[in-house]
Amino acid sequence: MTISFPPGLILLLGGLLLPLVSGRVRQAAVLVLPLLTLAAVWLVPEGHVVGLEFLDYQLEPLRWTTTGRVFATVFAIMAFAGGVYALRIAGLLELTAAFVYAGSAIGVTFAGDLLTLFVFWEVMAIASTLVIWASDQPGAYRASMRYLLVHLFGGVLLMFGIISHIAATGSAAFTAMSPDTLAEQLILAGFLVNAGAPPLSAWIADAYPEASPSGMVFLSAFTTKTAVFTLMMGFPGTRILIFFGLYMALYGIIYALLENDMRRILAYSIVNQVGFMVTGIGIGTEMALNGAAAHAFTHIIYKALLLMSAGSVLYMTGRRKCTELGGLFRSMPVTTLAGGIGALAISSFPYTSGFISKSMINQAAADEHLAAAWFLLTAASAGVFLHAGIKFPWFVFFQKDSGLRPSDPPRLMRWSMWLFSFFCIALGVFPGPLYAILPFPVAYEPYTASHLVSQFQLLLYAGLAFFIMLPLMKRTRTISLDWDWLYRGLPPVLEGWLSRAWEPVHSAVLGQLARGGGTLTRALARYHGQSGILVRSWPTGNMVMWVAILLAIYLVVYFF
Amino acid sequence: MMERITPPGRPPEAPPDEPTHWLVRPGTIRGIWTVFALILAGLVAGDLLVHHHEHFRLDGFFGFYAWYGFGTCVLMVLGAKFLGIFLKRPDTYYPGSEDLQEGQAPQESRDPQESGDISTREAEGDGPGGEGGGREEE
Repeated sequence: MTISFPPGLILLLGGLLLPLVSGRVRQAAVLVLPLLTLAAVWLVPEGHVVGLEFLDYQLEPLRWTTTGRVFATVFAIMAFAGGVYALRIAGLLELTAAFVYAGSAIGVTFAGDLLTLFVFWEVMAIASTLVIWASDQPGAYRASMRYLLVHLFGGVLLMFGIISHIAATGSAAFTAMSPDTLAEQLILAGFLVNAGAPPLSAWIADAYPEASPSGMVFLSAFTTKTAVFTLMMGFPGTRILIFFGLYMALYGIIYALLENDMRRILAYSIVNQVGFMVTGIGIGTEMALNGAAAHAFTHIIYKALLLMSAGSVLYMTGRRKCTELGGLFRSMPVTTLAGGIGALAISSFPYTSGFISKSMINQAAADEHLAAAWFLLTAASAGVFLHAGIKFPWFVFFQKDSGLRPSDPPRLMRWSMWLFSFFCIALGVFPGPLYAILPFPVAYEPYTASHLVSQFQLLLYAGLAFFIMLPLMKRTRTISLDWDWLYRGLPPVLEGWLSRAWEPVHSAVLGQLARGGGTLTRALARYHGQSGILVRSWPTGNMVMWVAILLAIYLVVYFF
Repeated sequence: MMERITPPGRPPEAPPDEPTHWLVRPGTIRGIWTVFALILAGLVAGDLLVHHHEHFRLDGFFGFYAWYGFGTCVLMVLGAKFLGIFLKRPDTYYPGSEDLQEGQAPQESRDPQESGDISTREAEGDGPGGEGGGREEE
């Protein structure tokens, strides 16, 4: 059996049908649709292309690539585990939106042309906004609107880029480009907005933590990693990406170290991890691209696991801030274990999934003799253990006892955490299957004595630094300013400034009117004032009568 | 029919007569620190046995990953602390975050010092045993 339609459509259309069914059928659909999609991803024959004539353009809604299959596979797995986690706690809107979101992300990974890519890209933006919107967190609505604005802006950049690119080259095909002209630069910028690159990095930590416990699990996976996919396909080896990537890796660490909200710590660490991938894409060798693809794969799983753990804490306690949490290991053993395994995996601990993927990116930087990149990546690897590997589990599950004794979350949430904990360790111990599906043949052996000793040294001494510096890392009830201040903090300041500047003019004009325009204002008040004939409200009875009269006239006219 | 499970609301508090968990007793924490110190020493000693393939001159130094990991982490913490002077704001800074406070902040807390005024106050001690130790996640 072979598949000749974009596999993402199963999730996308299936998700849209969820509201039409209910009860057990819906629950079965939530579990089965991602698995069907996963099967479909693997039933697309290698090298298969489905072409379509649209206006004057040759569209390719389905183009098989090895890279696309890696991303589509992990997206489908993610949709399944997220579905299990969300099944009993998420509302219908969130589930529907999350499935449409996942489906359109998979749609992007099989898009062979820029127009198809753009359509799925925008569906993702809307569906992910709805996932945030469906949240029960108090700040969710405002955050979802800011999120939407950023992504619509990114979409506009991308659209301008695509239109100019097609106008210049006459082809809509999505192939590797180089950012030499404005068209390709705009496309690159559109992709980078979704990757969380500077200056628009703040939307991740602003919006995602406002989603529901299950909503953020979905959100962490698709938008940024779809951007990684498009960067890999569109701009491999573009040197400027190394700078973007390194900035993101360090930005994520610094902001996460300052942060108090446990899920915002993890949101910053998404930027940090995507930074590693973007750096790998910038390096652009086979080893680096393999590393970036593998790291996206493992990252989606361990980040989802971390957020399932944090989501369970939020769900069971209603609290998000490290200052209000602590000591939960006593009553939430499964959640603590899942958080710990996720934390080890994100820190690239040997025998967890992060180790076998991230080390390839570092190796690629060394092979290319990019000294600055290598030293910064190595420092960032140590910093990951600091901000996500220890800080998150330490402040939530250990540190000072908060006195709270919540139990582990309901069954399905625990099962999904067990599933992804298993994946984190299995991929780390047996990297073979993942290496086998990567875009290029893998000539890398992660488990050598030298790699093990150096990685353990790096991480455990980073851990020592954490506990020695602990007095400096007291949690404070603060947020940290970011570039998003320009659209969140500046407008109220400007508004106050403008209204103060306008005030003298305003009162002068009013004064003038009161003196000179007395007659005019009296006349206006007479007809348009509170009981003026032109504005006074009519009783409903009058209204009904007039409607009846109009209908009667209409009938009579119609009759003749 | 399986329905949506509503969140449990306020979590239960620890009973007043709850014994100290074995993991956070001072003895255990001292033990963890001892084992941790031995592992750290062993890892650096490992450099004597294992040959690292150096790519740049600096990474061939003895115990490079140990001191580089430790040093950069100290720098990152200090750097974050320094930037925090300029970047940190109370978490009610942006408009609309007041209702967020109301929605979730627990009003009463076991620790009297935690229910003081807002702003950038520090509300947290270090390790449960007074010491910063405890490396349970390994």
